[in-house]
Amino acid sequence: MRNNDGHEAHELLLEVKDLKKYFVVGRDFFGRPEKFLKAVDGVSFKIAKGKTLGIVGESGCGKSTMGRSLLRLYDGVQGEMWFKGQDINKLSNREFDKIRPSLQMIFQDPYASLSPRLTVGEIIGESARQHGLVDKAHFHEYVLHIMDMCGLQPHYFERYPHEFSGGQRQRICIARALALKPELVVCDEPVSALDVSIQAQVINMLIDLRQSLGLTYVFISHDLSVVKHISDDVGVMYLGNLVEYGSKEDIFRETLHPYTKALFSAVPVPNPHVKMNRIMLKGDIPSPVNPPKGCKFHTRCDHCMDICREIAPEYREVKPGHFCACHLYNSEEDTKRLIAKDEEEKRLAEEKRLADAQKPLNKFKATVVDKPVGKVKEVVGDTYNKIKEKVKSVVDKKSKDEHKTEPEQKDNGGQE
Amino acid sequence: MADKKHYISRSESRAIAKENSRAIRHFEKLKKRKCKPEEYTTVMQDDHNIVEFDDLHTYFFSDAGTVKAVNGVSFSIPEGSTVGVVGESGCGKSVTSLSLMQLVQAPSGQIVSGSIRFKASLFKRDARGRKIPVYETVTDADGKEQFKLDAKGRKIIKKNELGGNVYEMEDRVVDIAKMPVDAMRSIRGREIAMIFQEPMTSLNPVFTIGNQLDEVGLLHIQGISKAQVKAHSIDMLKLVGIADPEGVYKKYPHELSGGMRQRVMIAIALLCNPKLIIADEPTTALDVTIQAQILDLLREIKGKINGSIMLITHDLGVVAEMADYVVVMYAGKVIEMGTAEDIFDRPLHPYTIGLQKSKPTVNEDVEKLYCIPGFVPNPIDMPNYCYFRDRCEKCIEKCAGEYPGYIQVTPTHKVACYLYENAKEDGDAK
Repeated sequence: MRNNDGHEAHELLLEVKDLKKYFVVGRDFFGRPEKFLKAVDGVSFKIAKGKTLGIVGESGCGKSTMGRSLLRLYDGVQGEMWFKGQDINKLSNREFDKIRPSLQMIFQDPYASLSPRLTVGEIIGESARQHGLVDKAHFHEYVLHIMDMCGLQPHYFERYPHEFSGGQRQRICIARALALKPELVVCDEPVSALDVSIQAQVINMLIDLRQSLGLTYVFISHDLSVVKHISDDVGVMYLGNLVEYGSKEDIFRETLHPYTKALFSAVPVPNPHVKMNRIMLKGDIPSPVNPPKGCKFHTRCDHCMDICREIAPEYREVKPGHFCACHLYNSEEDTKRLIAKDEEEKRLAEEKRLADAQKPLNKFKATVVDKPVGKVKEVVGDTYNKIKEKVKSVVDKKSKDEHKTEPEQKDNGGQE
Repeated sequence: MADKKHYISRSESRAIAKENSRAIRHFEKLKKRKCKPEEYTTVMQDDHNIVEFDDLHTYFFSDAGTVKAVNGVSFSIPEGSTVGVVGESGCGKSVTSLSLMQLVQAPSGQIVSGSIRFKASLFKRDARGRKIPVYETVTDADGKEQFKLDAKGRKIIKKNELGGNVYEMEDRVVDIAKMPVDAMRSIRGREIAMIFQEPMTSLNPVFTIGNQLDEVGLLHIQGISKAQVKAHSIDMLKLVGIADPEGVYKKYPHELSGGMRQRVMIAIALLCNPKLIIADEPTTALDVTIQAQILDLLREIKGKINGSIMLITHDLGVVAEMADYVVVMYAGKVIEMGTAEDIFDRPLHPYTIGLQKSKPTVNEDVEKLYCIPGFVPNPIDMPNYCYFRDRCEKCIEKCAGEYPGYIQVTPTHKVACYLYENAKEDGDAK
């Protein structure tokens, strides 16, 4: 994440390598997945203990999916997630249950994420009891302690969620996450459903708790100003990829990627005298089911070059600790290398295609074979090949006999 | 909070229901009455304004008691300007705009008192209530104007550029708060148009975009044919920056993205060249990059149609960018109003100051965000002193008294706070 100076003191808590989560959106006739929505398509980052990583991006860019994948809330997540020396993606569910308390989440909508049938005390304490963090005798005391930490009054214990306003509910959600004494908390848009003045209360509380409990946050938000306020490192996502990643200062002062620049310039500033030099993005975010070829951002980019339309940029360290995926920061050698790599890939793909064409037909693929005279016969995969070989052998044999007579074959399906 | 009971007894509930049904019956009767236009005609206080809210009260008669959603709001929208209304959710900013459209959720929601004066241009009607058409004229050899006649000797009605009949219009100031429902129909959608908050839910999913656009045109543009309305709708879609208007015309709302739907909503609003566009949180459901596009479009269009915009939002950044005048609302009352410079450079009311400080900005760094302590008071039983007193850090002895009146600090800047009672005199002295 960082170069060696100064920041190595922080212990690494989570390292994510090439995280991928594809959703199946289309299946073929036999029920095999055919079409994918690449919600997260190869994301890598590291978080040090006690730091906050802010993830920003438009809706549909995969930031929430990424957050949920970190907690293994989805099946079929590819990639490595090293949490305290263990790849949690490889653990079995039972093994992961032991780690689960230290990874918690705060959800976006405080109105939908609290059970209306449980009291506040039960909501907060339920998971702690489940994981055996507290015994029956100390349950009440434990929950009250957590509630006190999150600014909830003790008499709320017996109340139900519908009796509270949005800000209070979000406090309950935070208390529920903290009741398990987590180390990493994924906050998925925790303040976007709240009013401005309540937002400030919740953000301040999150920052205070981070200091007092030594928490690490992954803070997902579409609100750049909030992310800037709370984060140490910031990652910008676009269509399932991190396009820029670095420390907060790097990202906000020396913005590299054109998308990040446009995103920052689009934020309205509460000052009527500031006339922003706005970069207007054209159009909408493309569909992640069918992302554009080459750089995914090239359809909306002002600096789009020829190479952008063809070759996807590399995600690499442009400056120390500052990652970016854009061809604008390629050196000449980089460009040459990428083009060579792309050509090589294309060549391999072409070879593969040709090789595939040579191969015997796929088992399940039906084909129609023309017979020179008479009817058209449909033959299925393997059977066809067998017949073909048989016919061939017979024909060869006959041709050795100098074409004396036409072979009397029952199934003359193939024709050379 | 603990000692305050949070339930309603059965007898209380019965009393509330009785009172509500009485009040609702009274107001519904008023709305459905037949009356002459003179009854709701008034005069503007300032002729440069297009809308004047004057001490507007809109209440909701709910089962838990009367919610005073809008509790004495007065401000005005000058012609050709953008007025931003800011406030937190539940402060009554949306209800104010819905009152202007007469779209408050009836029967529980009712405009109780006050007036909304609007400068409308209505059809001139003859004694029998019919519209008076304008006829084509020709100047004959003597220089006299004469009606043009068709083959059968009938007068020809003048057509506008869209092909609709032209009728005689008259400018009249109406009081929307006192207007009966059927009279309001000629204003709503034609003179005042509204862009709703959620483009996802405010378009009808079972009709095509074209269908929904045409409906407005056929209703409000007189004598227009279906083909003409279609051409006009497609023009409007082009105006709001939709790349393939003919294609979108045939599509259903679910086939479009959020930004596109919001553009369609704007196209519907613009179809009849309204004088006033109410934009109720037009960008809240959209991403920042799309938000920038939509705001840019609104600004551009305002210049083209030369109308006014009432922009309702909770985002101070959007207001700073768009608005000429800003109205800050809190718990159903306007607490501060002035030009955008007044509000953002010299905010006076403690709530406005707190609101600005509590929002982190991209350009500045702050150690800790300021947060306004406490909560908005319960709208059912509001205190009789300043509503912000319990959350205010600057409150003085006088604040325990009744709700403060407006203090005109500068000619454009008004605030409802006792802290500035002496400020006006200071300003005069200077």
